[in-house]
Amino acid sequence: MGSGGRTFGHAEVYGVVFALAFGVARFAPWLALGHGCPFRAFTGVPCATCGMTRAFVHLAHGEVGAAFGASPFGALLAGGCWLFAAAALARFALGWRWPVLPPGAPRRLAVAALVALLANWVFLVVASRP
Amino acid sequence: MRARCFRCQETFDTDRFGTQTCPHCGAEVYLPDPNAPAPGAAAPQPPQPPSLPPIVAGGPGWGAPPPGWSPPPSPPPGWGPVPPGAVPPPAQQPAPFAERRRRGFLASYVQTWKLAAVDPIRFFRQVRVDDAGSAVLFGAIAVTIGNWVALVLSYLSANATMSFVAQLTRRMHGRVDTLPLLEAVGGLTLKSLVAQVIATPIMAVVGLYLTAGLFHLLLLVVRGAGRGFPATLTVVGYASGILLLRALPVCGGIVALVWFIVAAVHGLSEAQRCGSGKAAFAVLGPLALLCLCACLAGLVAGVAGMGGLGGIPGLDGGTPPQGTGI
Repeated sequence: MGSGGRTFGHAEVYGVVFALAFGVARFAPWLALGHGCPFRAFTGVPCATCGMTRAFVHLAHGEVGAAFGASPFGALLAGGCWLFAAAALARFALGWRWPVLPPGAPRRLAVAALVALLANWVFLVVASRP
Repeated sequence: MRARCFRCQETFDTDRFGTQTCPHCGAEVYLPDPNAPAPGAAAPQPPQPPSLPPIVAGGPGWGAPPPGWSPPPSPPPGWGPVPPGAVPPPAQQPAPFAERRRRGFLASYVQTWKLAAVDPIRFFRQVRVDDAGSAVLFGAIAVTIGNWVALVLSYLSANATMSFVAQLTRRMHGRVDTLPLLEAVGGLTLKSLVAQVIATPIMAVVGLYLTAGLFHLLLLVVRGAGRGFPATLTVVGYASGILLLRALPVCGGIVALVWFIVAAVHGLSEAQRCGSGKAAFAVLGPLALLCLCACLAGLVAGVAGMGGLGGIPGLDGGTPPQGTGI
């Protein structure tokens, strides 16, 4: 992440992908399609990623509470992705340099993301109980 | 002397040159003798008188080469078949597709496809990972063509599929709800086909990056990403060439998926020098999580049923919970 100037690298590709995700969540009628989670339909228990689509769509429409209600991890992920997209595009436009991460930071972030996903799943299972 | 294994990057002590086994990972390591003469200068040749080509009758081209002429450059060694018993060279080299301007687009594509699909261990051990753009282009082309053919086949066979499902529904006297399947097949109109054909290349690149990101995230968790994200993206890109097999009707999708998983596990193991276990964790992790979901759901349902807690909604014949779950 130490590249600078107007180089279009992997980080910028992810920025574009996340920006596309925002556009789709904001303007495409995903929730109207009515597609459900097969795992939940079969077992009645939400899967680890249940509610992600609703979280992305709600957050893209500015409905923060509904987004966190659908999936806290999904809402955080959506917010993080779109902040990253804005940072990547701004960095590319202005020619700034990415901050250099300290050694070990990527792994700590990855572990934190995995733990957050599992904690989110526990939350979804508990919240879905009557 | 101390040597370093090219595969696991661990060091070990040895007292000889030549082929030997790494004590850490078991890989065959070749240590060249620095004092050995170069292959071209193995035995000094006595000076030979300049031999002239025989003067024969024939067309042009058989005479002596003009001054300053040199033979045309041969393709670089390395990607050809390894002779029996020989140890593959550990030196890294660009994939044939990365040299497509020199080798030709189609020829380099076919050669890279064969290497990545048939010999992924050797290919990903040797391939350079600093040109991930070529890998992404390679994988995007394969995914796009495979999807295009699969889409067209689905569109052409939609009418036949709908007739078959309708016939099945009649024979089952309505006991099977085939409406969702009919809706799905019927939804494949010409407009949606064109839209999907246009979107496929973009979705291919997006899918490659998201897959590589997911794999790399899991590799980071198990400290298996020593060579960085470009190595993971290179593996995903070249291994995705196998998804070209989606073009095969009926069984192409499942064959391509299983083959891709195998190649990706081998590829990450070799390209990241992380071993098969960590690579398998990264590739199979999402699938394992899905299985864990199923096992845990069964466990929760069983415990809830035995404890008289009312069971899990949707499992006990009660009303499923509100919300689609997406």
